[in-house]
Amino acid sequence: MLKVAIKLFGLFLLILLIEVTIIPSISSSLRIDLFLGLIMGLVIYAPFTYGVVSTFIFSFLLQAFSGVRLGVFPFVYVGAYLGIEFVKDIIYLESIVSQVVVACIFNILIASITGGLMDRWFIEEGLLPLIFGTALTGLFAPVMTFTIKQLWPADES
Amino acid sequence: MAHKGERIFLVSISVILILIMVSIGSHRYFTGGGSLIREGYYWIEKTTTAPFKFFSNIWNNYIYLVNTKQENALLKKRLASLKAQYMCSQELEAENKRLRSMLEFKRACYTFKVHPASVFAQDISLVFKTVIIDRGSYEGFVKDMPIINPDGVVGRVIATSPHTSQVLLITDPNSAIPALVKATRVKGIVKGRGDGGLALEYIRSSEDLNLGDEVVTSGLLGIFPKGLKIGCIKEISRDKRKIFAEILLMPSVEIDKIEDVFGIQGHVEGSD
Repeated sequence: MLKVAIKLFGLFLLILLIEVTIIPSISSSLRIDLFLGLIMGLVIYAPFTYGVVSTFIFSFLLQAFSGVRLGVFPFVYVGAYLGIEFVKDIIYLESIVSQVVVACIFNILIASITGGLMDRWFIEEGLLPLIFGTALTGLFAPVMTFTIKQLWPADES
Repeated sequence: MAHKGERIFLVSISVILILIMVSIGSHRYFTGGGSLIREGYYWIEKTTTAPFKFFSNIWNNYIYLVNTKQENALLKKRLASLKAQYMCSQELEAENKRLRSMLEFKRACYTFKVHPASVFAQDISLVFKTVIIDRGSYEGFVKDMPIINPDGVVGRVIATSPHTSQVLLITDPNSAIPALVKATRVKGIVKGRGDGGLALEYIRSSEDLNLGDEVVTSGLLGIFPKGLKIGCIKEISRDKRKIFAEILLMPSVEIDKIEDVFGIQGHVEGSD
C-alpha cells in the first residue's frame, strides 16, 4: 500500500508540474484539469477510503497554487469525487467514452462552482479557452484513469 | 467495498475539515501552510527542470552563437547612446527637483531598490489571476510589495515563503490600484476585470479624457510608488444618468507573456 501511495504522490507531483508550470508556459489562458482524471481513476480503481483521503490531501496541496479561499479546492474536488462515485453506480465508467463525457461535465461544474463560490463568472477569460481546456481535460481523463489502473495492484482494487 | 457507515464517517470528516478550512482561511497564521507547499514545489521544480535548463544553456550559450559579434557591436552603440540619454536625464532630474522645492510642492521621494525575479508557476484555477515567482522572504520580498516589469505595473505580492512569492496580478478583480490620468491629473481607481483588461473607476463623466491617455499610479496608500505605468485608455462610455464614466484600459504590461519581473523594495514618501 505504501508503494502505491508513493507512486500516487509521484503522479500528483507530475500533474502539478504540468498544470502550474508547463501548460501556462504554452498558453496562459489554457487550463487542463489532469487532477480530475486522477480522481476519476481513484473512483474506478481505488478503495473508497483511499480515494477520498487522497483526493482531500491532494486538493489541499493544489490549493497553495491558487488565489482561491482556503477550503474551496478540497470542497469542489471531494464533491467531484462523490459525484463521480454516484455516476459510477449509474453508468459504466470503465468505458473510455463515458470517462471523456463525465470528465468534460465535471470540469465545467468545477469551474462554475469555484467561480460561483468566489463571486466570479467562470467564463471571464472567454469561452474558447474553457471549451478547449474542457475538451483536453476530457481527452486526458482516460489516460489518467489508465495510469491509476497501472499503479493499483489488481488484488487491492 | 467500504461499509456505508465508513463512507458516511469519511464524508462527514471531509465536510468538517472543509468547514474548518473555510472559517480559518483568512487568518494570517494559517496561510503559512500554503507557503510551505509552494516552497516544497519550488525545490521540486528546480530539481526537475535543472537538466533541461543545463542543456538549454549549452545550446544557447555555446552552440547558438550566430551573429553574436554583430549584435555585440550594435548593443555597444546603443549603450553609448543610452549613456548620453542618461546624462541628459540626470540633468533634467536635478532641474526638476530644484523647481519642485522652489514651488514648495510636496515632493514624491522614492527610496527603493528593485529585485529581479522570474515567474515559474501560474494560478491553477481559471477564475483567479495570480502567479508564483522564484523570490521570497529570503530575498527581501514581503507582502504588498509592488511587482513591475519594464513596461509597467504587474501586480503585488500577497503571500511569501522563503524562496517564492504569490503575486496578485493587476488584471484580477481583487486588485485595486489608486491611479491618475497622466495628462489631466484626474484621479481614480484601476481595477482588474478578470478578462485580461482593466477598468478606471470613480472618474466623473464630465472629466476631459481622451482615448490613448496614459494612466499611471498615483502613489496613494503608499503601496505603489507614484508614476508607474498601468495602461492607456481604450474605451470611454459616458451616460448622463450616471455620475461616473465607464473607462476601460489596455494594460501596458502584456500580462499573458510576463516572464521576468522586479519587486520594488522600500517605502514611498510624500505621495500626494
